[in-house]
Amino acid sequence: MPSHDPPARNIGRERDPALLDDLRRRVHALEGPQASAGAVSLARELDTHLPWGGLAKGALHEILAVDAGPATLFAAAAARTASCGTTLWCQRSRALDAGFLYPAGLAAVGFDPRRLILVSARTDADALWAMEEGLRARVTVVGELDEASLTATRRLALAAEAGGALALLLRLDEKSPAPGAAATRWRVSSAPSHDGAVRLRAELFRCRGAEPGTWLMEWQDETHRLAMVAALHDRAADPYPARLAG
Amino acid sequence: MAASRAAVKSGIAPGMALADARAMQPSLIAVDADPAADGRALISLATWCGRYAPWVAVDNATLPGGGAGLLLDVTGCAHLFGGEAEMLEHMVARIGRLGLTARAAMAATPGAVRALARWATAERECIVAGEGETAAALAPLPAAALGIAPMTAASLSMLGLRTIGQLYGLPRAALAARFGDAVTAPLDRALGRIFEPISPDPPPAHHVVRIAFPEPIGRIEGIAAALDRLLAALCEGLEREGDGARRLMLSLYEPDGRTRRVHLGLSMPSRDAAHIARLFAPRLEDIDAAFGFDAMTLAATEIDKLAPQQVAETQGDTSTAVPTALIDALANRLGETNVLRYEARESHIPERAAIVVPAIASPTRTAAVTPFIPPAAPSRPLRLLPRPEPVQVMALLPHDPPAMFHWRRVAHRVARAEGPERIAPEWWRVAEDSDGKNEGSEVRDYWRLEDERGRRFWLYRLGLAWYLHGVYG
Repeated sequence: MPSHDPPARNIGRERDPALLDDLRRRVHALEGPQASAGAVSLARELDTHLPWGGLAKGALHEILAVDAGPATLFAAAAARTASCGTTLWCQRSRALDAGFLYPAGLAAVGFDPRRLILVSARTDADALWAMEEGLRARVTVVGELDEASLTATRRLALAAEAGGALALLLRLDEKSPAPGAAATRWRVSSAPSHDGAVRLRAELFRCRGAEPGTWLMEWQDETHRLAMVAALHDRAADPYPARLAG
Repeated sequence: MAASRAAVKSGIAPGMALADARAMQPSLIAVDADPAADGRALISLATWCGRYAPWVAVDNATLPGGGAGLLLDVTGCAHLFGGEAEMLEHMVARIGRLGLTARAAMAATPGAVRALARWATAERECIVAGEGETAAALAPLPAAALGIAPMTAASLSMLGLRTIGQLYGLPRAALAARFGDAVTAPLDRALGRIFEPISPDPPPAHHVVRIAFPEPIGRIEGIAAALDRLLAALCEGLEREGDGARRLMLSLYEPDGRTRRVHLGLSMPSRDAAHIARLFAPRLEDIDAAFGFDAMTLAATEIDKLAPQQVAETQGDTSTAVPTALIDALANRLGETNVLRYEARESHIPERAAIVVPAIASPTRTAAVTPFIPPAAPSRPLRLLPRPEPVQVMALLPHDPPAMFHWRRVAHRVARAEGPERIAPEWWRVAEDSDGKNEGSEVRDYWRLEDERGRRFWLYRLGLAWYLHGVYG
C-alpha cells in the first residue's frame, strides 16, 4: 500500500512516525472489514496484485463487458470460486441484447446451473432490491444492470459488507462508467484463442489500493479456472484520472 | 322486475307493466335491470361475508318467493358473535348499513334455511331454528317453500295439501307414486334425511382465524399488529395439527362491503410466524385503506405436513443450505414467475434442453438427475439469444463454414471454425408445436466460429440461411 504524506498543515514539521502509524492504521481500518471477510481467488498471479489476495468478499466488484461472452465467463468463474452454495443471478427481463444465460454453457464451464436462483427483474430498482436481499442473506450475487448510479452501488457495497458475500455487477452495456462505489472495476474483452484454449483480456482500471493493470488470461478446462498468461500493462492514457480512495 | 318498499306500499307490485305503474305513481323512477352487475355485487357481498364464516356460497335457487341469496355454513362460528340469533342480527344490521335489506334465517339444513329465509321472515327479521326445531319451523310454510316446482305445488294444493306440515304425516309410498321424487326429495333434504352440500367459492381453507375491530383501522401499524395476532393464532393451530402453510390469504373487510386480499406463497411449508410476518410486511404497504377495515381474516389455503422438529437455519453457514427465506422474500415481492431455477430436460434441441421453473415450486425428482449437457456433446455457449438472429455470411461453398459474417451490422472475419454439429428435430415432437414456424423441427448444422478478435459465436445453418444462436465465454 503506498504511503500517504501527512496532511498539509504538518508540512514543515519533522515526520512524526507515531502520526504516520496512526494515519496508516486509520486508513487500513477504513478498508479493513473487507479484508477480514476473505477473498476470492481469480488466478494466482492476479491475486498477488490485488490488495486482498483476490477479489474481496464483502465488497462490490464491477465488470464492464466490452464483449458479453468473456465478461460472463469472468463473472461466472468468480462466482463459482466464491461459494459452492447458492448463487443469485439477476437479469433484466426485457429481451437482452446479449442473450440469456444458458445453463448448458454454465455446466460446460464447471458451474452447476442448479445452484442458481435466477431473478428476472422488470426494472433496475427491482434488480437492485433483489441483489441487496441476496447479499444480506449472505449469498453470492451477480447482477446484470444497465444503469448503476453512485447511490445504487453504495447500497450494494453496504449490503455486501453486511453479509460478507461477493457482489458482482456485470454491466453488459459498457458505455460510460460513471463514478461508483465498487472496490474493483474491470473491463473484460475477448482475445484470440490459442491452441484451442479460450482467452480473455481483463483490465483492472480502478482498484482501491492497487495500480491498474491489464492481463491476458486463459481458461483452463481441467481446473475450470482462469490462469494468467501474460501481464499487458500498456499504459494507454487513462481517460478517467486516478482519484484518491473513496 | 322489482319494486322498492315505498313503491310496494303505494300499490305497485312486481310484474306490473311500467305504464300501469306510472299511472298509479307518476313520480316513479324506472331503472334498467343489470343482471351482470347484480351478479358481481352478489359475489362481492359473498366475499365480504367471509368475515362471518369461511363457507359462503351464492344461492341461485330459483324460488318463486324471491331472488338470489347467500348460504353460509356457520358451524362453529356463532359463538364468536355471542350466539346464533346475535350473529344473524349483526349480519342483517351490517348489511342494512350497506344499503341492502336482508332476511336471514339459521337452520340445520340448506333446504330448511332457504324456506325459512324466503317465506317465514319479514324484512330485517331473523329466525333461528335450533336442533330438532326444523320440522316445527317448516310446518306452517307453504309447500312451494321447499323448492317444489309450481305445477307440483299446484297439484298438491288441489289435493288440499297447502302447508308442509300436512306433508309430514302422509305415507311416502303414496307421495312417491303420485309425484315421484319431486316432493319427497326436497322434503328429505330440508329435514336433513338426505345430505345436501353447499359448494362455496372459493373452497374454504383448513385453518382460518379472524379478528374484528370495534372501529375501523386504516394505519399500517394497526394492520401489522392485528396480523401479528392472527399469525400467532394461526401458527398455533397449524402446530396442533402438525401442518405447515404453503399458501396464505389475508382478507381485509371494509365497512362498505369491499374486501381486499393479499396472497402469499412459500417455498417450504412453514408455521414460523416471524418469517411469514416479514414476508407480509412489504405487501401491507400496498394496501390502500380508504375508510379502514373493521375485520380481517387469515387463512392457510394450502398446507403440507410439517415435522414438529424444524431445524433452524444456522446463521453462519449457508453454503449448502438452500436459502428458502430468500426465495420466499424475492418471489413474494417480484412475483413467483420471476424467481426461477433451471431444470434440465431430456432434449437435444438447445432451446429445450433446460427450462426455468419457479423457485418456489419443489424440484421434481427426474429433473434432479438429468444432466444439463448431454454426454459427449461439444461445448455449449454461455449465453443464448432468445431468438436466433439471421446473419449474412460469405462462404466459399454453401456447406462450408463462413469466412466472414455480418451480425447486427458488424462484420466479423472468421479466424477459426469448429463443426458441424448436426441437430436434428425431435420427430416425436413435431406434431406438438403449435406455431407454424416449428423452430426445432428442421435440421440445423451448428458451427463454433471465432473472429479475428477472439469473439466466439454459435451459429447454425438452416438450409441456406445462417443464424446466430449464442455467444461463448
